[in-house]
Amino acid sequence: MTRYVMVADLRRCVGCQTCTAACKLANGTPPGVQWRRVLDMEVGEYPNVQRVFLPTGCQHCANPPCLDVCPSGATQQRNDGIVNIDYDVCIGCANCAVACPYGARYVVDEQQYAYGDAPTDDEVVNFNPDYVGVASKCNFCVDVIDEGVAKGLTPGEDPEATPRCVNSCISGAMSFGDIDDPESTVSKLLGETQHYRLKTNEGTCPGFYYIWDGEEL
Amino acid sequence: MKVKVKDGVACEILPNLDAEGIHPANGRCCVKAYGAVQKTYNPNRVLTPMKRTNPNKGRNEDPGFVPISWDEALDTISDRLVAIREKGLIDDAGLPRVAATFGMGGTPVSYMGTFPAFLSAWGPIDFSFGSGQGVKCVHAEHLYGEYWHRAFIVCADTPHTRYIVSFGANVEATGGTCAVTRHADARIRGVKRVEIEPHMSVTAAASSEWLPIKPKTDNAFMFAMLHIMLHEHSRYELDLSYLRDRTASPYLVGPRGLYLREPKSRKPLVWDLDSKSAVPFDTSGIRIALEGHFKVSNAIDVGADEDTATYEDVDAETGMSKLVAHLAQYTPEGAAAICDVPAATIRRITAEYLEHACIGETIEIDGMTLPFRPVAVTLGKNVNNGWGAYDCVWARTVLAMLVGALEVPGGTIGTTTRLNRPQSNRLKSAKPGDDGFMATPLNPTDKKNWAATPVGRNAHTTLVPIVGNSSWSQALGPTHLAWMFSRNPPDNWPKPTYPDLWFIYRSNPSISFFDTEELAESVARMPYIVAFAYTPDESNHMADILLPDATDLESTQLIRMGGTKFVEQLWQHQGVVLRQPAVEPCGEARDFTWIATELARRTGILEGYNTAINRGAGGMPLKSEHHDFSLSPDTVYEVDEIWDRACKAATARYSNGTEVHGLDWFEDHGFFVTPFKQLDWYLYPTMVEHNMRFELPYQERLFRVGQELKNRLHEQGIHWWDQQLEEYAALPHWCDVLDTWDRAVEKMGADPKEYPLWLISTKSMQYASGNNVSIQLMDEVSRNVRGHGRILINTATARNLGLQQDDWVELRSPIAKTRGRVALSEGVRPDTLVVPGQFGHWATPFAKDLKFPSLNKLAPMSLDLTDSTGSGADIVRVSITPVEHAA
Amino acid sequence: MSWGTAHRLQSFWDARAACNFIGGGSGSSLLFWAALGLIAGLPYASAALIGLLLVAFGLVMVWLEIGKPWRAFNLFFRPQTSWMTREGTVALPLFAVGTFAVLSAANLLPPLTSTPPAIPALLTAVLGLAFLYCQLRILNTARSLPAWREPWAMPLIGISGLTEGLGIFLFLMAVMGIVPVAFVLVAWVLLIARAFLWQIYVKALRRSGAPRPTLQAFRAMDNLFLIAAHASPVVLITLVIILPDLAIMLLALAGATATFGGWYLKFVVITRAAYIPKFEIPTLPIRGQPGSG
Repeated sequence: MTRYVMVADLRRCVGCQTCTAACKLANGTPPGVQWRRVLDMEVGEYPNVQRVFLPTGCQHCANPPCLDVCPSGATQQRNDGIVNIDYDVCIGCANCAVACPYGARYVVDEQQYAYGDAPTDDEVVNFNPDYVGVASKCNFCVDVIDEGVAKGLTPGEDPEATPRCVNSCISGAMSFGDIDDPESTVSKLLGETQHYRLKTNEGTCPGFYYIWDGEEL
Repeated sequence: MKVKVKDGVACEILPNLDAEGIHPANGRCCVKAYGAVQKTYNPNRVLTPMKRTNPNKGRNEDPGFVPISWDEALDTISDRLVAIREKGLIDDAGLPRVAATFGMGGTPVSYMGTFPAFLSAWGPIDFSFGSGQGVKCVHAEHLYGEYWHRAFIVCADTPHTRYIVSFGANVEATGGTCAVTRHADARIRGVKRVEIEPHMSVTAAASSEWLPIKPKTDNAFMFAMLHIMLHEHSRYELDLSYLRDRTASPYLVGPRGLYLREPKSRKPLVWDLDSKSAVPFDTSGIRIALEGHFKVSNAIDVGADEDTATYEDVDAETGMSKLVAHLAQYTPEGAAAICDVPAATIRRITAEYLEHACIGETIEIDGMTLPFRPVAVTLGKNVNNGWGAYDCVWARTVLAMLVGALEVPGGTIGTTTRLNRPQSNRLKSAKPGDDGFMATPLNPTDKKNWAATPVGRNAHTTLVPIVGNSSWSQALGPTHLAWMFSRNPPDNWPKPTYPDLWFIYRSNPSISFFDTEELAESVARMPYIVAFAYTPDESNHMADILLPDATDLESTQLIRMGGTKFVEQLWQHQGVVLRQPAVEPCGEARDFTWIATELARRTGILEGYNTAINRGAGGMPLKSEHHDFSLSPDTVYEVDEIWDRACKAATARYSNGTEVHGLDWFEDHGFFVTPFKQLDWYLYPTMVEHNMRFELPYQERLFRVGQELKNRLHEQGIHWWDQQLEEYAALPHWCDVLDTWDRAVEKMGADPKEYPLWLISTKSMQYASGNNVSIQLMDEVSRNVRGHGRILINTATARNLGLQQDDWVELRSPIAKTRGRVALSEGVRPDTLVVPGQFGHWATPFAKDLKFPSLNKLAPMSLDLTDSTGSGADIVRVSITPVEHAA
Repeated sequence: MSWGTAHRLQSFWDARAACNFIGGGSGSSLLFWAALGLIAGLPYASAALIGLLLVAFGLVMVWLEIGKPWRAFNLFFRPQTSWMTREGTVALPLFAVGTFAVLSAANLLPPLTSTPPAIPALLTAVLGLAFLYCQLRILNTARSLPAWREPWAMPLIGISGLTEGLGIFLFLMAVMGIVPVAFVLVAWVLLIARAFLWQIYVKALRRSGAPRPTLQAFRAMDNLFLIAAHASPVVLITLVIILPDLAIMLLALAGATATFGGWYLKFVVITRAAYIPKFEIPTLPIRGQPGSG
């Protein structure tokens, strides 16, 4: 079995939004749509304050609430755990968006451009009209993964087959790979650190792990 | 980085993972780089040369720019330049007729192709008009860091360190990808970093501990740390042999506060415990006393202007003893009252620092055994500029010195030089000079050689001895004085003339300096401005000619990388990287190298220009012992030809002649590197090799130089620099910065009580040095970061004012007001407000519609708020008034 | 400030989606009450027609809201799991049978095809209830929103739907000069039930730690909702029994307030109280050595 998961090491993340920007360029998402996003969270009261940077996005849950509610079947779950959207089928009803506890989905009703009403040259090239009027979200760069696997590369180990956000991460906070493979980077990393996942009480079984400390002593 | 191009359009930025294991951040570029695509296709770009048709300049004047051809633009400029050459390069006031201003931190040099060669060929250029240099950079650290340990920039030896005390150094935001990677690895290793600053910056967030210190009181904290180390801990917790052998600590100081010297050789004396007498410091076979009071039978001291005194049986104490005595007054309890950090905490931090210092331990680096002292102290902007900065940089360096952690593995180290040559190798710039210290080219202050008449409009050689006279010195001088004095010179000071022509590139002083409303009007008074323009902005609004240079993805340049350079750029490789055009330039934008060549040709200085390129003005000398790829002086070369030769010269140089690669090779491979010894990260081996000592802790030379400068200035009837002269103390006295500010407010005719809060600024990775306020992507991703475009205010303070998140407020300083929305945060001191970045635009497209506040409008340019190096700091007394609730 | 660090009001479904729950809930239950009314000998056709129109109105509003309206047919592809598919699937026969029932009751069918209207009316009623149930499940599966996924939301919105439909039915009867006493008494009971369910729902939200803005939105409507949409119609209905001379007017008012109250509830639930809770992190990361401060 294969299950691809994302791991964010909160000890490393500095909230620089490089992954946010890299994802936007890689996928040509319109202004306001951020499939990968890093939250800047504050906890505590002055002067006992902490500030945490939390990469978020689609958690590619094992029990994705978005899957069942989708009326068109556009949202699909692959055998490798990736939850994907068929943009040709989606009707943009946003039922998935209200079902997602992680707020991972975006629905854009009309194409907007970075500067005013006309697209810039790069937007003309990058603009994917398939993203307008439908739900969209992080898909773990599934095209890159599939192309890489076809070439015999290992997602998460070989950058060519790895999601762009992971490759772009400056601090080394982001890792990706197959959690069902005990030899993968993510498996080893999770084996030697303490981590959690978010909103697990929703029964979603998310595929996004957050490391907060080294091995328990 | 790599750029993906589709149908001739740049559409994606990717890290360059070929650099894995070579680049300390493994080929990753920061978030700003991802804005380069939008930067290229920004519809607001200036894409054709333009000339002004409205002769009136001012914020409210429409420049009336009309498009012109490159020929017309370049001929217009070169005609003017030729006319200037005929008149004379220096005007009647002794100032260069041509001035140039570039932006932050040397970044523009990586984008302006061979333009430095044009400037070099031209002759004297005045770089005095700053765009924030001195107030926006780590100014005092630049100058004193280089002076003491060839550290234009200082950082921790992060891969080896274990404990970092950071006073406001925001490496996670401004240290670049290398710093972010290294510090992330350090956190995993278990390094403890204590971040001490008034608000919880990104760096504070990523630290083990945050101490919310009162703004600009870091000097009190550090002086208290020194006090604790010397008065409350055992001497055996210090590195006594380092102090004795590598610093000026044992040098004997006489009654006038000057070193006692052997009369004949004039060498400073130390006390030999064996012979019980004072002997020159470099006497071999002696046992030097580190501390103590002694009687010296026969000595002289040499004061200002060769004022020499002769002594017999004179009382002397070592520099170390003087240090100990000086610090007795700076107790932790006193510091706590000033800086609002409890005395117990200051004691704990100091104890932890000492605990981690590993006195006596060693480490092997590249086969050499070096001291291993894994403790570092780093300072950030606002701590190491403006009043109090001298205290802080001195204290920090002494903190390192006391445990032998200065310039050794794990400790506090420098990265590069800019005032000393060669800039490409700071170790080579450390050569023996007087008194056992490094030779340091201070600007002369003796009567004969002092620059009584300023050679530049910021008078750097006149007023700031320590800034030296390298190609960078003027831009590192007191650059706001150029603006101030042009408007309103002080007593007994000639009003500087305006330059006949001013080049400006990647710089927007109307936004990025202080008192921006007034500054924009000063820019408007410039007679003739040639602006290399990306988009219209608040400074080129006053320009006469706009030239569109090809931007990041459209141009060619070979850039040095690796070795050691700037913040945490400490590599185990060195070499060069090519920026090649990913796409054709948009519109009529042209490669800067082409522009520079054309200007040189049309101005008649082609020969000097090519010669300058041959010498290395484009980044790399074209001739060496191994090769000669020189340009023929009188030939006009195409852009690619110039860079092809630079590529070949660089590869030949770095490979010692074994490999030569041209532009085509670089287009496929991107970069070329050879190994760089990690050993060369540290100055310590060089100091040992040349038997040099660090000129610390006692600043005898600066004390004397200060006296001389005072003499010179007073002889001219200049007393308005007297407050600054007080900084030339051999051991700094704690500067009450906040009180200085209050007195400055009173002098402005205002009551400090009406401005109850301290406003400071902070940087973000998304914008720092980015030249990218008009990039929509940066604004969009920044909105995920707390405080972007807002005024950060403590939640309780806000509630007391009836403020909620995103409410509009007005901030007032004694000189101006600005409006912005508030962001409530628990991570800010209740008495402090923070405005990230520099906004307040009124002309730059996209940015002007953001309506973000800026500290710069509120901060005055004032001699009262300028320190002796000519720097200021981003701190302003303000009041806050609610204006409107958020919609 | 970036959402996710604070509770966020969902912006995917706006007033148009609220109209679907309003029109769909009121209309489908109106079809139910109209069918019962037919059995009791009351007029059917106009009530049923209005019921169908209300459901249609709701669906048209949703159709206007979806991003790809011309792909609307795709919504039928997932009956296995999607309540929206099922809602759409029920809607087709609902309109077909409902139209037939209206035409039948209005004697507008050609002689050969005419049937007693009670059969199609009852069938329409069942389909209507099924449609209403699908809508409740759509809300319930919106896992991001405590205000919708709260188990007590289903009975509350369900009872409200029935109350609104009955309210419209009574209003129509009043317009026609009829006071159907049994239905009036049922309305009285439904209103009290809705008031109780409302309070149980809000208490349950509070207990489960729903976002504060959700609770604030409900607190802001609480008084108006209870007084105008429950106390008032209950009093009016009581007066209908006591003051038969004014019964018509009182009944119309009671029906209207009972209905508008339910619509107001749905509007607030869908658009004002629908906050996605912020992220909470169970443990803060350790950066380097733990701080001793």
